[in-house]
Amino acid sequence: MDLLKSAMDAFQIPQDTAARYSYLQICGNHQVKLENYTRMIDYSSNRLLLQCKTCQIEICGKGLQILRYSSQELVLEGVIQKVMFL
Amino acid sequence: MLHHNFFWTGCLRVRITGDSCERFLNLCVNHEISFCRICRDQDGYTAIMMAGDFLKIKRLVKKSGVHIRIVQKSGMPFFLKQHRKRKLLLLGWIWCCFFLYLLSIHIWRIDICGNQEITTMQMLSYLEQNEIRPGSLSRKIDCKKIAADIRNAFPGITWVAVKKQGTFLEINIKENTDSAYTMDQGVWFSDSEGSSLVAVCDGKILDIVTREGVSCVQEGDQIRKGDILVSGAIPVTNDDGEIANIRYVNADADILMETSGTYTDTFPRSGQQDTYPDQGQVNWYLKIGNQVFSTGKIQETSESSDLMVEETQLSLFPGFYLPVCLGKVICHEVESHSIFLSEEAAKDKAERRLEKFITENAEKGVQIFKKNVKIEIGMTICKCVCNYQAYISETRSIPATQVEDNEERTNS
Repeated sequence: MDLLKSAMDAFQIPQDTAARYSYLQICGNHQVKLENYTRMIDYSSNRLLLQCKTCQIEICGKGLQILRYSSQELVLEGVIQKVMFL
Repeated sequence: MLHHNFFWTGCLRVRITGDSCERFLNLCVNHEISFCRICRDQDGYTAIMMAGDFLKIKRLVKKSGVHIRIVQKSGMPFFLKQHRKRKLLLLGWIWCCFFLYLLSIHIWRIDICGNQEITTMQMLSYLEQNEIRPGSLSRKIDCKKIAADIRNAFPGITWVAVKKQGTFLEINIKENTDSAYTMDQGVWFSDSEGSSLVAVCDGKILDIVTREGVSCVQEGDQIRKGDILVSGAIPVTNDDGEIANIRYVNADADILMETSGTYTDTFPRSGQQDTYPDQGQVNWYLKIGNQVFSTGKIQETSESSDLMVEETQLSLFPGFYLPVCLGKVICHEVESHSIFLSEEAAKDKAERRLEKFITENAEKGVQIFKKNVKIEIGMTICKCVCNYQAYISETRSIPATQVEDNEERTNS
């Protein structure tokens, strides 16, 4: 793992590309874009639980709606209150 | 982008119920089937998916054990299927598109901007002679050729820009507003003769910065109207110090002068004022090409009446004008009344006219910094006298060779 990390730093490769880390983009408190996830575990209007490669991401809020769900990205809209890495 | 694809390929709003809805969604995503607007309610999920993808999910539905139901179908394929028997609608739509295309390849509006001495009608009639009019084919209009032809036909125009945008032809012109040039129409000097700057009024030089030419005055000099400020004739001397040749340039300088003058304005206190007693008679009309369809005919009830026409040309988008104009004709009866201005009204009018004079001079570069205004209101007339001092930066150009002629005449 350390060797991989060193190689990534040496070649300046983004971590989400090489190590498949999740990439989260939050716009204010109303939109979240997610990439590099494995699957969706649970979804309701107050909670979204996603399984990623190394952890789980839980997003809590109100009126959550998935705008787009595809193999490349997931776009979530609503009132975002909490983002947790489990 | 996904929504645009959904419209053209068709999309379905589906309702997913069952125990393993999340598993079903994950299976679909792993098989490159995307969803939009997924909402969770009490029983299950509502989502939007592409119509073509719906045919691929049968195996995944069976595997995950969910129930899926189509709630709504939308998009172009479903619209066409719904209206497949309405052939006239399709023909009408095709004809409308073809008609719009026909309209788009012609010019329907020509605007002339920036003209001052040359009237719009003069310019339009010149274009008419060259077969450029509303209704001409757009591809036959060559903007560069039109610009060159206009410059040749109107020597007073120094700059022309012709722009074609959709069905709109815009011609921007800039005329030569130099007073010396416009006064002597038959005589004009070429670049080889050069030009000199002369004063337009009496005054005192406050500041002079010469960029081209030879300065004939300096700061503090008192000058009179017509005096040469900067000469365009530059003497070229030889080694002996004698003038061997004269080089002519267009004199260019920033000159600030102080001048004084008197403004006198007299106007009668009594006069005639025209008023419109009512809203007037209004007639609407629609003009398609040269055909006019009006709601009625204006009946002029008296000899003194004003006719006002307001016309608007319709357009679909900016630059896409149609050969259709909507307008209204308003006929007002005019009633003339004799009025006599009170002292306050007369004074107010005199001040407004003075302000107008100051504003007009300011646009010409004359800045009045000190004034002494005296308004006399008599029994029948009102007189306004204003002694002012102003800064002026305006100059007049004359041919540089004319300066030489004047000097020879003076010496002889």
